[in-house]
Amino acid sequence: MKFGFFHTMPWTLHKKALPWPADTGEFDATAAEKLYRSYLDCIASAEEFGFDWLCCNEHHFSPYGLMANCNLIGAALVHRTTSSRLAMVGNLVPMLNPIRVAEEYAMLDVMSGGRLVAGFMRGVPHEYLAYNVNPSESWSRLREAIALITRAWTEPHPFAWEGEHFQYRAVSLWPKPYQKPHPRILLSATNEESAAFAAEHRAMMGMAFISDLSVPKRSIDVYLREAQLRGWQPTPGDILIGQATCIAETDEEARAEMIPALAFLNGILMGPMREAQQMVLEQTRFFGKAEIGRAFAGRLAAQKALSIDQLIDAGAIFCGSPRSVVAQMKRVQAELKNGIFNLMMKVGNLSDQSVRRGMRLFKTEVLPQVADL
Amino acid sequence: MAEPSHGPTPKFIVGAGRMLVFDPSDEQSASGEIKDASIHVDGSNRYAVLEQLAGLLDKQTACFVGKGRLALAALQAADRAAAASIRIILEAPDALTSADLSWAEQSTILQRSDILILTGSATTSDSAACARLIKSHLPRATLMFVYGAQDDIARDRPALYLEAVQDFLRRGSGFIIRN
Repeated sequence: MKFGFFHTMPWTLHKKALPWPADTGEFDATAAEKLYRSYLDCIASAEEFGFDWLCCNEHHFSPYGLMANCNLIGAALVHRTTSSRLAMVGNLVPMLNPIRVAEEYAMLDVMSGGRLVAGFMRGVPHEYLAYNVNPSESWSRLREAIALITRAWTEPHPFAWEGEHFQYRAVSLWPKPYQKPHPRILLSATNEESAAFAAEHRAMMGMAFISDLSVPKRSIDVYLREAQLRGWQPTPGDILIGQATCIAETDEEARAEMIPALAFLNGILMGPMREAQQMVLEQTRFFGKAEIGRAFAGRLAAQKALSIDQLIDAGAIFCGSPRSVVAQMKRVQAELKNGIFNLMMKVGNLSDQSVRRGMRLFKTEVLPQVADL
Repeated sequence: MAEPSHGPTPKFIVGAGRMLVFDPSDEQSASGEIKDASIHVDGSNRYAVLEQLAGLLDKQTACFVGKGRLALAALQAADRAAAASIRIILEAPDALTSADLSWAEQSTILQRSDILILTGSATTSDSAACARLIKSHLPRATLMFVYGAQDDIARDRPALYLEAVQDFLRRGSGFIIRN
């Protein structure tokens, strides 16, 4: 079992939910500088606490995360770490310049000596409003962008690309990636549509914000079945499950901290995103099938509505003493057969002190019990 | 240079300039008539499109189009041409070896011609490898991947094909800058 340390770099100083687009009037750059410093120190130290992957992601126009470009954070981590995989999970390629993504990922891979995991995300619906890209084109843009990026990584000679969304007459990537033929690709597989897409691309699959274990189980089944149809066999190491995680000395202490932290995450940090997502879901064909859009909205709503005990029972979060968290991890892993847990330990406004305590307990008391799963 | 072992008959199209098209589907047609294979899914005729494209050439320019295994025939014909300006379009080239192309590096005509090599990003043949091989012998050539096309690029992605070829014929080497 491998473990990722996932951090969204949230802006934790707002006290009330903001409507979309989130007003930045109260943003304080001096405070943000301190947050960046603290967050970077925390992520880099995860390597010492036994985490195999350091995971960064990209979001826009929201206090949910100060990581508008996760590659910048990845670059800051390269020389502060030595062995952990740097997982960008990831760039929102349908709305970016794919050649720029190919270049930045190749730089990270070379600079880190081949430690990059290349996440290509379609993004959550509200990102399309932020970057003014038609959400209905998200799948076709993602598909073409991946084809173009992998071509740019592997093509030995300059080439031109005539595509439906992207056109380039002279592509010649410097540098090429360190890993050959290219870094492992990770794709989101939060529903059956995206799980099939990940299998089609022979990519790792990842999912987070689980409301109950039946949802990822369905996605994993589709992923495995589709992979088999396409002539390859994923391993547990190809399946990443993301979980909000709080580890404290006792169950009571962990719950007492997790309850307000989740309320802050769902209410304050994700508030503007939910509002924008609703607009996109109602007015575009972001999801190929309407029922998948309804399931997406339902999954987020369910997460928000469940009590902490229900969330733990549903396998949606890990929360408790080391002993309890070990049991929770074993139960989820037995059900899903995944080889990677991606732990989001900075949940909402959970204090950095609590996060570090959780990391320490993870290393000393949790990891020894679950490393061999 | 090496002569073709057997002489495929090109389709000769005259617009403002001249265009010679080497297409295996024509070669297979005993009468030389255009086969149904030249009709695109949108109902347009491949040669009607090429005639339209030939209209973009000026009188001093000759264009050679070679498709599939007849890419070599187009290169050989271009090498013998006397035109002041030469454009060569190779569509999903196939069945070529390095030995077939060794002479091309010594051809002053080919080395100074504008060459566009098209291959589909979803090709099911060796066309991408052949395209790379041609480019290694003719470094000035532009290798273009047409997204989503298999091996009949004009049929699979007519709009993308037309966009690329039209721009290449109109602008020659300036084509490398898209806008």
